[in-house]
Amino acid sequence: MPELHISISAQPIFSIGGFEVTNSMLATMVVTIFLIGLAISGKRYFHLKNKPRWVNFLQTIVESFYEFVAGISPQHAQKFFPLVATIFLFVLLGSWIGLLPGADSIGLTTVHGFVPFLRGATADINTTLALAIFAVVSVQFYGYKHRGVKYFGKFLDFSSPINFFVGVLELISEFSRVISFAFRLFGNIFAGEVLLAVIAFLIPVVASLPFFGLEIFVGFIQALVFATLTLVFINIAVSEHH
Amino acid sequence: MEIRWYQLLFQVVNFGVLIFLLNRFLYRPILKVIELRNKKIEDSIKTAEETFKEKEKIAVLKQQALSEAEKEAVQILEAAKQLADKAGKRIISTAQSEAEQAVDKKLALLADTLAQEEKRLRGRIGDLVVTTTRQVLKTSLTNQEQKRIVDQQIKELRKLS
Repeated sequence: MPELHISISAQPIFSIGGFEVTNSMLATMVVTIFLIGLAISGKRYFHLKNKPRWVNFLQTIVESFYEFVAGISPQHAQKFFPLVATIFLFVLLGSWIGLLPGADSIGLTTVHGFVPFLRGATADINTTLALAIFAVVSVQFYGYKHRGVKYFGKFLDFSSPINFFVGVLELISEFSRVISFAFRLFGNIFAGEVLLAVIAFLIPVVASLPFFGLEIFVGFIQALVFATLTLVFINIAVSEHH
Repeated sequence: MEIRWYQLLFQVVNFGVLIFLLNRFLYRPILKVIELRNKKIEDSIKTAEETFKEKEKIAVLKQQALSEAEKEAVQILEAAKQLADKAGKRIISTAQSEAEQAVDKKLALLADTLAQEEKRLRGRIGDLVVTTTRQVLKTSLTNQEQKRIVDQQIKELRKLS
């Protein structure tokens, strides 16, 4: 009976100058190159009336997401859109890449055992933590950009002991956002991959198909949740306190 | 599950590069297209509104022109009626006077003709009387009878005149 292969960490495939390149980093690069390639190839068609279907599809996705962002933050939609849309697209494809046929089965055997070439990019805590840090730092950046030094006043308020305590809570809440962002995404996507691996191990044919559908949906929802929460936090940061 | 700092750094840098490149090659061109489309729609709406206003203005002007034209038409009709009345009266009076003149002329001509005929008939009758008288006198009339006939003829002539 074959072994069930589950690894909570991303596994190294090769190393460059002492730095190990993991399968989730490889997946990240594949997603990045795919998105950039799509953008560069589509750029010349966007302004045309007759364009290929895939360009229409891409444009529809981007436009729909822009409408979504504009619905939440009408005044700053153009400023926040690149960050929020990139989070959405990256998390979406980073989660879906782990569902590709062969993602868990094509790889190489190393001293650590079998290592698949691709692993869901967001099924690695390093990726989700990096995204969470990027998102929360962006929130602080936009808060400072729109409100100046006054923005940091909510963390350091010496007007009264209660306000000081509230400021400390605000500071803690910013850090907790990083943790909640990172672990929510990692937990959902990793759990999905484990579920698929277990189902495929128990019943190799057909049984895992409904779960694939479920994981596609989970990937979409998680991408939307990550992007929407980032947008909402930025929106709160740039709006004046009352 | 372990957190490796270089992996974190790689992911952060990778994500930063991704945002930059997608913004340059994907979002900006599409947002530009959206902006152009929105501007086009706004312009079209503005043009449509202006056209609608112009249409309303034209409708008001048309209404005004129509009511003025109606008034003018009524005035022209009134004036034409008055003119027609005057002309009709004038024509009728002229025709009447012309007819009267023609009747007068015809009557005068008739009277003249009658007078001439009367004159001609008188002359003829006189001749006939004389001729008849001569013949009667020639045959069997005595002097007394002749005188009586002459007197009778004279009486007759007096009656005719």
